[in-house]
Amino acid sequence: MNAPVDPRREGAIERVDAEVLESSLRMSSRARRPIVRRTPPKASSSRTRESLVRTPPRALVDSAWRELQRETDELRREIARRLHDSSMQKIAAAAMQLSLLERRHRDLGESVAEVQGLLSDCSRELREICHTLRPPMLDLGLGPGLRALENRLGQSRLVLPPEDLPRLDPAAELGAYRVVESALLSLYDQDERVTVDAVHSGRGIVTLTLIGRQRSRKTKNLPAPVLRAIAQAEARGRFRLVGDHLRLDVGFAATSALR
Amino acid sequence: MLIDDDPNIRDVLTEFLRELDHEVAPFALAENALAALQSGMRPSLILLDLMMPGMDGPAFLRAVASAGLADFPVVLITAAGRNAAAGLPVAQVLAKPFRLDDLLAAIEAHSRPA
Repeated sequence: MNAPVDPRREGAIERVDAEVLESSLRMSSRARRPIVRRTPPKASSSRTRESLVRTPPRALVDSAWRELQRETDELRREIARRLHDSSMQKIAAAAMQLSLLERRHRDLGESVAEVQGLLSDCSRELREICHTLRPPMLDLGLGPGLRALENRLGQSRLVLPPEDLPRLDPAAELGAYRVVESALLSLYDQDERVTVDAVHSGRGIVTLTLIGRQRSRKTKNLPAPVLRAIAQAEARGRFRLVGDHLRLDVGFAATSALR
Repeated sequence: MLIDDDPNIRDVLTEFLRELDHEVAPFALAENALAALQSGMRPSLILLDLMMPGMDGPAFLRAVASAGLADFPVVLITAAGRNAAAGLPVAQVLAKPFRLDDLLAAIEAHSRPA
C-alpha cells in the first residue's frame, strides 16, 4: 500500500536526486505539468530548479560517475583488505598448523601435504583476487606498489627516486598504478621493453613517464587498454591529456605524464 | 623477535619455535617491538610481517635504521607474495603460507648470536 502523501515533502524538489530530476527535465512539458501544479512556487525551490536547469546534464552525469567510481574503489579496497587481513591470514595459519602437525605425526605426511597443497592454491587465488581488486602493496604507497608490479611482471625497468615517492591521495595512487599496469601489460604484448621513470620533484609533485622502445609513440597511438585506462582516469576527473602527455592533477598532490 | 598482528600466525609460530627451544619474543604491534629494541633487546633475528595496522613492516625498518639500532637480520613474512618486499633491506622473504621447514632453514641461514 502506498504511504500517504506528505504535502510538505511533495513540494520539496530540492530533495529529488539528480538522476530523477534529470529524467523529469527530459519529460514532455505535458508530463511535467502535474508536478508543477502540485508544487506551489516558492522562492527557494524556484531558485533550485533554475540552477539545476542551467546545469548542463553532462556535468550531472560526470559528477554521478565520479561518485560511483569513488564508492566502487572504496568497496574494492575494503574487500581486498578483508581478504588479505583476515581470510588469507587464517589460511596461512591453518597451513602452518598442519605443518606443525606433520612434524609431530610423521605418518600423516601424505595427507597433510595434500591439504597443504589445496591451502596454497587457495591462498594464491585469493592473492590474485586481492591484486585485481586493489593491489595490497598500494597500501604502502605508489612506490612499493610499482615495485611489486615490476617484480610480478618481471620485464619492466622501474626507476624510482632513492627517497621513494611521497604518499598521494589513495585514489590518485590507484589511478596512476592502473595506468602504468595497463600500459606495461599492453606494451608487453607487443614485445616492448618499457622503462617507468618516476621522479619526485618536490612539493608533492610526482612525474611518471613510461618510455617504450618506440620513443616517438604518440598517446593517440597507444594500445586500446591503455587508452581505456586513461579514459577511466579522465572520467574520474583526475587525468587530462595535454598534447602527447597524460597529466595527473589531484590538487597539489601529483602530476603524471605518459608519452 | 616475532612481529605479526595476526594472533593465529603469531601463536602457531611461537608454539613451533618454542618447541624447538628457540627463545621467542612475540609482538602484535611493531611500535612495541621497536620500543623493546630501544630498551636493549638484542634478537638474533627478526621475523617481521609486512602489512600491519599502525606501523607496517617498511615503517618499522625505517624506524630501526633511523634510530641507529643494530643491523639485525630480518626475515619478512607476508601474504602479499614474495614480490611484495622488493627494495626492502631484508635477508629473506617467506610468502605465507610457508612450510615450517622453510622457516627453520631461514633462521639457520640468517640468525646471528644475540
